[in-house]
Amino acid sequence: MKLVAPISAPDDVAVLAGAGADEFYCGVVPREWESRFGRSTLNRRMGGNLGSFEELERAVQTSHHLGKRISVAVNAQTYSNDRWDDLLTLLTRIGDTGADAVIVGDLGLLAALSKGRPPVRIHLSSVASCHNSETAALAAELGAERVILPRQVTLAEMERIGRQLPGLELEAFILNDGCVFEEGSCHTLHLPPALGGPICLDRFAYGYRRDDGKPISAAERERFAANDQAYEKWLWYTFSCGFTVTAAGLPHGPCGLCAIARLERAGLAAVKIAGRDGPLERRLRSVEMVRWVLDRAAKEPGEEAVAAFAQGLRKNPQLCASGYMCYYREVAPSGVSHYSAAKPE
Amino acid sequence: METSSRNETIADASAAAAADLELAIAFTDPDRLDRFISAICADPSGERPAKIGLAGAGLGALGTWRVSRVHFGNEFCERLLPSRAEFESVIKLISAAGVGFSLVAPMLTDDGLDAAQQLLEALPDDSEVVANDWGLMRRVRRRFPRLRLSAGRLLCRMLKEPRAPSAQYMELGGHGFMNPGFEGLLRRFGVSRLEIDVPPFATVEDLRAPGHRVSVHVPFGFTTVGRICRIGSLHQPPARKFATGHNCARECLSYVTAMESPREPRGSDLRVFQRGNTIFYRHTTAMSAVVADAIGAGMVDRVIVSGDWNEAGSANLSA
Repeated sequence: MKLVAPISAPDDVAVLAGAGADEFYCGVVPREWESRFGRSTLNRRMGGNLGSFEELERAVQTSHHLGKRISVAVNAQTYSNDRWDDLLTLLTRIGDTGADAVIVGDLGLLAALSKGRPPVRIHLSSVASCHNSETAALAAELGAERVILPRQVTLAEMERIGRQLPGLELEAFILNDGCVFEEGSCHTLHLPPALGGPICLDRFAYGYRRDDGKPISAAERERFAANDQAYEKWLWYTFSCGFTVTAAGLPHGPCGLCAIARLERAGLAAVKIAGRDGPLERRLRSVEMVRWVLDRAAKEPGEEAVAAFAQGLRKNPQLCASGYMCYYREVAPSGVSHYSAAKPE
Repeated sequence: METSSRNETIADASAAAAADLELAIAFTDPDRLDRFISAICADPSGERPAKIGLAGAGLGALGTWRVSRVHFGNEFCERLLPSRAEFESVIKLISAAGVGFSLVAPMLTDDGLDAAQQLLEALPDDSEVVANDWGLMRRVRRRFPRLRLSAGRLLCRMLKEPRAPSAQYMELGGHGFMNPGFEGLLRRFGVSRLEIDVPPFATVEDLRAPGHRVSVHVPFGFTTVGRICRIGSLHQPPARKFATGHNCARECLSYVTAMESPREPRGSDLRVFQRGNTIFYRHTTAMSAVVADAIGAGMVDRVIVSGDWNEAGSANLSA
């Protein structure tokens, strides 16, 4: 199982490779695109992008020199018609740099690429919201060689997709950067803080009404208050525990390290560290953590032992015990069993 | 545009496009549909606009039209898929009301696809399925070629930031349902109808999709949705709250979550609320006017009114 790490500068490649990264991904927003359409419209990131094809070429050369692959994210949710021709030109330029794959978030773009001869491998981004094996099969029919599963896919769901499509590479999130909503269906902006920031962190005052118009009872009010309190706690974990790190610099926040052995067993091709726009130090420590657990899983056959090792890395067991820091709550100490659709508890 | 003149515009649009225009009402909850379908699908009366939530939305003139279709199902959560038995009752109910029927389905896991397939099997030939998941599109086309497919608003992606301070922000994310790639996917699955939201700062052009029949949702647009549900965690123990795949008691059918902005109101802010796992915004009068203009221009031939699972709830329907 490959460890895929984000880079935001060509020199990051060697640093992160040295820490154990197997593959890289990045964004590139050339000046001509930025001036015509804005910086965030190509891959949804204001920061953390390479600024030119020349920088991308350097990153590609270094990656290939080290025997590693590099992918380029072109993963907006969709592209309006006025950007289409520029987009196809840009994809050709990316291919010309020797990059190994593009990561696309719009199934329409994937469909368009499948009509011609794509210049590179195609990976389907988590932004494409592939939650089932039918969508994964469609992606494969359209030429995707890898599907990056959204954060909000459970281990059981991944396993089922993997069983249905054994020839398709699957990649899962393993560390950093939570999302409250589904990336591919969140049509908001991460506004500047003065305008509210991301909608999931905007400080709305929440109030509850009954659908039938009856007043909220005291018992209901109490239950809402407890739920809201737990939600605030969960938000704190989801946003990297207030963007904190351990004394050794290991990042807190969304984490799937306990699931590595199970992901290996399910045949996943890769695990991904999120956060292209994070500081290099954070990405470096993240790569180290994932590499330690991957190496331990290679030596240690038991999933529980690997999970225990992973939980010990931050030396802060109460963070793991809450379960709120987990991408995959199924393997958290508290656990969440998989449910069946349409069966209310 | 002022409310009265807008209503006149809608009435004019109605007259101009009456032959082609459908008024549909959307329901998630089979029990509410059962309770209200007779009143809603009855011939229009002076009271009905309020009952289907249009008067408050500044779209009262739409209420003078006859409801010709029911959209049943939820676009946002697979846990709201009905059982096969519930669904068969709904089909009978809608058939008895003498109106058209569309099954609406959300983004789905494989378990959800299995559950949805049970519903697809119960559908009469040539029924419309509003898919919000490309996997469901593929499943329907492969196994149920007898059914018609429409692309739901989760597939017709566009930026819809209800807090955007100006139209310039919205230019960052124009819709993609006219780009050649999306068109190719629609052709692949034989989709001819698109369901779209009215984005903040909308112009009529935002609702234009040449070559396709267009349905527009009123008076609410959705801005974001996820599989982690705040209200759906209400009765879960702490360790099971806010996890993908957690259980719920369908609390979203019982409660509406109001969201009050922490900032001084800006003229551009839209009113938002949360229902289940989804945040919605309410249309402004200017956005309603855009809908009216698009109807008048023949760009929209179906208006889908939210019947439940919205800000007002069923209290509004029984008012």
